[in-house]
Amino acid sequence: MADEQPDLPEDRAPEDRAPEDRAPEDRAPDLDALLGALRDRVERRRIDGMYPPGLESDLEEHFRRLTGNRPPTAAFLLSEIDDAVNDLAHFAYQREVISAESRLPGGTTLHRAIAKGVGRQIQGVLDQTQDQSQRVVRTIALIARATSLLADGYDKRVVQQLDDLQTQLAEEQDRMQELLARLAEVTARVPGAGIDPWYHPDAFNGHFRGAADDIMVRYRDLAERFVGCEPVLDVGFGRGEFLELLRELGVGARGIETDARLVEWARSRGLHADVGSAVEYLSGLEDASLGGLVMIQVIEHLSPQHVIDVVRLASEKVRTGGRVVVETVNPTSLYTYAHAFWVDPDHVRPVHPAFLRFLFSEAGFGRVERVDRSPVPADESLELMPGDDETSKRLNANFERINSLLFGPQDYAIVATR
Amino acid sequence: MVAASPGDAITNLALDTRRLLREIGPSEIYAHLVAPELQGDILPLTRYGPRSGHDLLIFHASMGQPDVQGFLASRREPIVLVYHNVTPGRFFDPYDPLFADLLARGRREVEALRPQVVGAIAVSEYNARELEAMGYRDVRVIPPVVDVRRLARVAPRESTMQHFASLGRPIMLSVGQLMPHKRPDFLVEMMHIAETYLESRALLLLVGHQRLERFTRAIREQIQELDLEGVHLVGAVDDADLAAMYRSAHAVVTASEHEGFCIPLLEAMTFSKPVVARACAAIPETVGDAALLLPPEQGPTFFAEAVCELFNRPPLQRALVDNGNRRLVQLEARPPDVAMLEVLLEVA
Repeated sequence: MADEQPDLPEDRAPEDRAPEDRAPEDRAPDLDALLGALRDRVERRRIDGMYPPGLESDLEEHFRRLTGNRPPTAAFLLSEIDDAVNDLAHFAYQREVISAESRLPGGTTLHRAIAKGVGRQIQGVLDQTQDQSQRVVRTIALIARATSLLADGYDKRVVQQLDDLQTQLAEEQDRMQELLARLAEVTARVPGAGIDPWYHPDAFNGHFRGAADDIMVRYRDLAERFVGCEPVLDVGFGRGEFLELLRELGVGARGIETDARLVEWARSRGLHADVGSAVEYLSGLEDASLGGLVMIQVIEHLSPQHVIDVVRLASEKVRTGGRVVVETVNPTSLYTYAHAFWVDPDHVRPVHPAFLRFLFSEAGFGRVERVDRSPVPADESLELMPGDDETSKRLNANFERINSLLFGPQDYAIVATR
Repeated sequence: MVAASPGDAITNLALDTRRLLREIGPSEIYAHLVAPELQGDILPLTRYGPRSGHDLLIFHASMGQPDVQGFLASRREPIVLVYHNVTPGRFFDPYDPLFADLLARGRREVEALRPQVVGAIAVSEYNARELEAMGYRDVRVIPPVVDVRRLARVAPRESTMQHFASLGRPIMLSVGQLMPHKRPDFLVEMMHIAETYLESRALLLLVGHQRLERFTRAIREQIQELDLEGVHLVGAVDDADLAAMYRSAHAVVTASEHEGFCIPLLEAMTFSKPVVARACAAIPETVGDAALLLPPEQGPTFFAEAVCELFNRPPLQRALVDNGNRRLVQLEARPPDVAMLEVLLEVA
């Protein structure tokens, strides 16, 4: 439309035209089709953004505001004064013609003479009044002009101040954006803030944690501890093996994960899964609403504060008689530092079993049990000396002490009952 | 009638009917308010006196007026009601609550008059439906098409014609009092959209009395704040100027939401101008197929697009003008005064 020039209608009556001049659409314009096309065009232009969203409602709201009970704006009053002064300036006094008609004999002549005299007198008064009126108009116009100048000056100052403020605000906003970006960067570097890998988490798990089937075998014993503890929440369910085990055991459970791709995958296998992180999700639950809580290889990903918070939340959200299982890397085995622990870049720090046990006891869990898991393959630890002579015995005792420190179980689990 | 003024559609119909009635017997027009130009010809209501025992009163209802109502209630003569419509008060609530109340009362007065009315005439089917909703039966519809070509015969003011011709811009004309139900604010919004988004150079002339000060002020402020150079609040003009504006216009437009009948759109047809209007109240039956009628639910964007489309399509303009000429012939086929006379003879 913008580049089309409006074709003005010809200003002549249609009957002036010969019938052959008329295009066929002259006679039967399909107005309904035209309206339909217009409707489509308006809709398309709205979608394309040519018409901004809310255009009509904004205009309506604008007019509603104008009709509200409010004083007129200074700009409006000044324009009204301009119009009024203009009207005044063009006003001219006019003298009515005095009728000299008379029904008396000779009266007309007398009347005419009197009228002439009176008329001259009145004209004089009118001239003076007109003159005075012109001066009044000039004075009012000057006042209006002065007021307008003052208002303009004021407007300019206010507008300038507003402009300055807006510039300042824009600069502040830029600074704030910059700070926010830096803050996000710093936050991402804080241990426990999590990483945002470009590789699929499943690839990592598959590579370092073994096939899902092996995992299911390894964790069956822990899963069995939840029989009768419904509902169970699996925090950080990863590939969902534990949830599958619970399903096999007929234990109602749902899981949360921070990675939406894992959640999607779990849902596609019919598991109940949501996106969420431990502290935030648990905080949102009702107290004593869980029968069980499981965290397999999760707490080593949390900041120390979150580890402490999670245990407190577990004590609030798991009802009496419920069970919590937390499995993590065993820091009392130095083997784990050479192998599992530092493989995962998202690990923050290991949690000592003595501290975790302390936390659960302090949080009010009645029974807190430690279960050692994932023993180091026997052929990797120090082999004991054959024979039972004194030297061999002493050497073997030393080997055993070294073995338990270097080659102790790679993981441990705390099984706490509320 | 409540008020008589020259050029007013209701006054014209009353004068025409009186001319015809006087061929049969004595007939007078009485009004509560009489414009100075008509004094002597139309009598003040206070001068009313029945001439014989067989008088018949014709009451043209168009607004509420307690004195007129009181007068009618006191009369024993049978009454023929001609309903020109009373604008619903809600349109005026924000601007003039007293006037809004007067209008609301006007509607109630028409309803209260029913027991005295021996014949009911409505100027449109739309009005007839309203009367029926008030309990009136056998309502006849007589469109008040009295000499709509009068203005086309008036010599247009040359200077005005030249002024508009010199602008070289498409001109839209809207004729009617600057009242809320006529929705001039809608047309101003339409102009904002046309100027801002469609790069239209068209002018809009809003011609008509500006009696509602607060509403007029709001419209002026709306034009000013939207910074529209193409909208002109012309106000009331004389016939020579109005004729010049009709002739200079390329389209006659209205966004009115409430009309009992709409004479200016017929006048547009007498000047061979295409009409764009919203299909509200009695407008569709006034114009028939001789206007680009826009769906009432569509906003000013649609209106702006429609007007630009019209300016871009001369065949469409010509087709609407042709239809307009046919529509006039159709409406003029049955003069309203004669139709009125038929009704009067029937009830008398």
